[in-house]
Amino acid sequence: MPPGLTHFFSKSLLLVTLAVPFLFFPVAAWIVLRWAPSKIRMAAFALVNLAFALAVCLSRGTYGVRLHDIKQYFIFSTVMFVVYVLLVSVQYLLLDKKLGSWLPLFFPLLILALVKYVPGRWTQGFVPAPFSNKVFADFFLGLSYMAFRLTYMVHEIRNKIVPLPSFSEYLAFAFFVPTLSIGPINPYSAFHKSLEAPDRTLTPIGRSWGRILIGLTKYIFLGNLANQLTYDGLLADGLPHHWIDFPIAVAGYCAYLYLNFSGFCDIAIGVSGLLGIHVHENFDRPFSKRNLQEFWAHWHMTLTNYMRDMVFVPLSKVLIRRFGPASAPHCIAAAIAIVFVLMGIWHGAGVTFVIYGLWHAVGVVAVHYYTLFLKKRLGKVRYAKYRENRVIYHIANAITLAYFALGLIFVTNSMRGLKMILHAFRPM
Amino acid sequence: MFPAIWSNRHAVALILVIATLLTLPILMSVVGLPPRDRVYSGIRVETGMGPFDEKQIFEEKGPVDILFVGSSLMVRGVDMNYVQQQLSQQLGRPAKVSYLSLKWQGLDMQYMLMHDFLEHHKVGMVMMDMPTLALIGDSPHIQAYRWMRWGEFPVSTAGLSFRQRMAIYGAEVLGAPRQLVNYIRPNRLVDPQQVQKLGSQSEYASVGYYGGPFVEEPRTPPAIPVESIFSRGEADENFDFKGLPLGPYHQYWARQIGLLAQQYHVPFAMVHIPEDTEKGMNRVPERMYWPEVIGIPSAPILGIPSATLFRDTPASEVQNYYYDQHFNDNGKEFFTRAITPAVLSTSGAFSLCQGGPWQRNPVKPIPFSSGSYSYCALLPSR
Repeated sequence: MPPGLTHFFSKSLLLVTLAVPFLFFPVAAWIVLRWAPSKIRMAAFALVNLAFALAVCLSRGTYGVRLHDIKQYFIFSTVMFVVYVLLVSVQYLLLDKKLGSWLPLFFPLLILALVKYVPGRWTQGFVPAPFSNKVFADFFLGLSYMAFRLTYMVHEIRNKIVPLPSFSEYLAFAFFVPTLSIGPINPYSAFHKSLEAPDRTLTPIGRSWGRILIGLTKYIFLGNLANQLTYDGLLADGLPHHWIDFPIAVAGYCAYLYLNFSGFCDIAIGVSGLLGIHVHENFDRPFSKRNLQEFWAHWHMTLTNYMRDMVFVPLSKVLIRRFGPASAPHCIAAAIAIVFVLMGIWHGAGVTFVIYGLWHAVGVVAVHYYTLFLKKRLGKVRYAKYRENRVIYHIANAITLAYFALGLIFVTNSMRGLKMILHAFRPM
Repeated sequence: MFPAIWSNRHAVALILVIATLLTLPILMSVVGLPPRDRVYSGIRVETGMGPFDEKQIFEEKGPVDILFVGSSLMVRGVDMNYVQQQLSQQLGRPAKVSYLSLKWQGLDMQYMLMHDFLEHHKVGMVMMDMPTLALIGDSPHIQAYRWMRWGEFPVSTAGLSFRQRMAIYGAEVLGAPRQLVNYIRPNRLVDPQQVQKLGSQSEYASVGYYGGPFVEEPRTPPAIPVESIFSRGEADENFDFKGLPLGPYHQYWARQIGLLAQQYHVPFAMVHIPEDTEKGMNRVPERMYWPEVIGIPSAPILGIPSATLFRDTPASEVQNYYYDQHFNDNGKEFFTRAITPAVLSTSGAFSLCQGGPWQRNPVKPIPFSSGSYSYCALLPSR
């Protein structure tokens, strides 16, 4: 590759990583969806998604790779992407041939477990030396979200919410570029309905542009500024710190995560909306909620919905059936705890993610029992008044936010990072 | 689909927040910036040796014989203790060698380090490594937001284009939240052992190539004639100055570095640290002919082609001198021993011109520039 071109790619990395999925892709996808003959439209749409998904993988992974090694990196990354597509294609075969069995439900999760949770040292020799700082999972962009999208699809097909898609539509959905890397975990039903019977009331053009604009502001500007005051940006710099830096970092990381994640989702939802594809919302003003249960119903909503439909509902049903209706509150509490631990593990490999899950399991179960206690103690009318009290609302909201923000320390820091942070508060 | 903004109240709040954040660098400058040394103490370890730079600039006193300024290539490429020891022997008195660096490359960063140091110390000679292909793009240093503050270096930024000044302002906006925290606590690292450890970058000492096993290698370089280490003009057969040129932004800072040397009347030289990708090369690859770019036409460039440096080393073992593109301790010691005679010679030549102690020195300084220049002419005019 000419040095000028590689220089352009490297120096404009942020621009490229955003422009590929959110500028070039929608233009190409719009042309295909609008102008391609109906016979080949879906196949062409799938090809556009695959081509741009590869471009996203290459551009996002280029960070940290030297110009000298970029050709080798592109070749290796492309080979890994082909493997990724083949594995996702195997899932389609399972859907087609083994829908009734457990296989299609567990195959994506098995791939996720193998790629994401296998220790880095096992795969270190496999990744070429110049980019050995990358782990195996870095070459399977958005695999966590892919696994959940594909298993939810099994759930929807089995429950006859949607028919089995054609292979082209399946690939287009699996590698749908705007939601490929960090979601939202859009159900196949929403994607399918948008293509079958487009409904502009769900995806108004003006709102789509507004979401893109606000998303870019959050993701590029506000998120990056907040990142200067996070654990990574402020505390984990290897230098000693004054204790005041800790609450700053707790609040800073919480703000950063929201701005970065919800900003990206805004862009993804907006760009999909321009194409007429309805993508489910991921955030609904979560910081205004009064307890953790409500918070999780409005934060990373597609993940919460997935866990509700795929784990919580069947699990609590099984538990209640096993222990009887009298034990329902405890069965629900147990199901909540299991859901949050699983959710913690889904976020990443390592002890800290399990602790993160447990942290929220404890919080939400406490809310569950406290709500039951209040309802029993206050009665229906007084409980309603309690809910309407503004002072109680603000106190509850502050406690909820503080609990959530504090818990994030486990999701963003490894054990080494935690030690580094604790070590930072030594005498200067 | 949810609306982008839920209400007019939200819209007003968002606009206010954005406006405040965008003007924060100016507001802080108006209110009064925290002391400049706090900029360094806030630079994270992965970014380089900020607190060590701070100590050398703001806390240590007295003149310095040689100041090395550069990127991580410089810190990992030159063993400063060895140079200091050799210089002390030549001078017959304890010599002082200092080095300042941050990771990644950028002449704006090198200007800032040099500027801050020269404001606080008298320096015998500045030696700098110039950007390699690792410097990507033509924008402020990747960590510029940590040390650039509105209102500082107003003279040196005056000649930048509007777009370039906006790029710097963008970096200042990005760094403003952390600068804001500097108002409430100093966060200074005062443990001398920690500072020293940070400065040594010793964590890379015994690391193999890209995480491979570290293999101890011979550290005595081949005999290389000192004269051949100096570039003798643009057409020098040992140097290739036709690399990818720097963009206007970094060329501007290169010129500012030259002007800074002239302003403080400090002799200025450059050194090339070979990277792993130069293996087998018979010429020292440089992106440009630097003396012209910095505006000191006869400033010497010191460099050893990789093929010459490793001529007695089997090709398969060359990578044992690196941990990535940087030298590990094998390479650091190997290269330092090879380059030090030329560094001392340069320092001596400058000293000779200034009537310094080299006039009494038994080692003859090498005239390192092309025939048309007297090396005394290398000195920037007062």
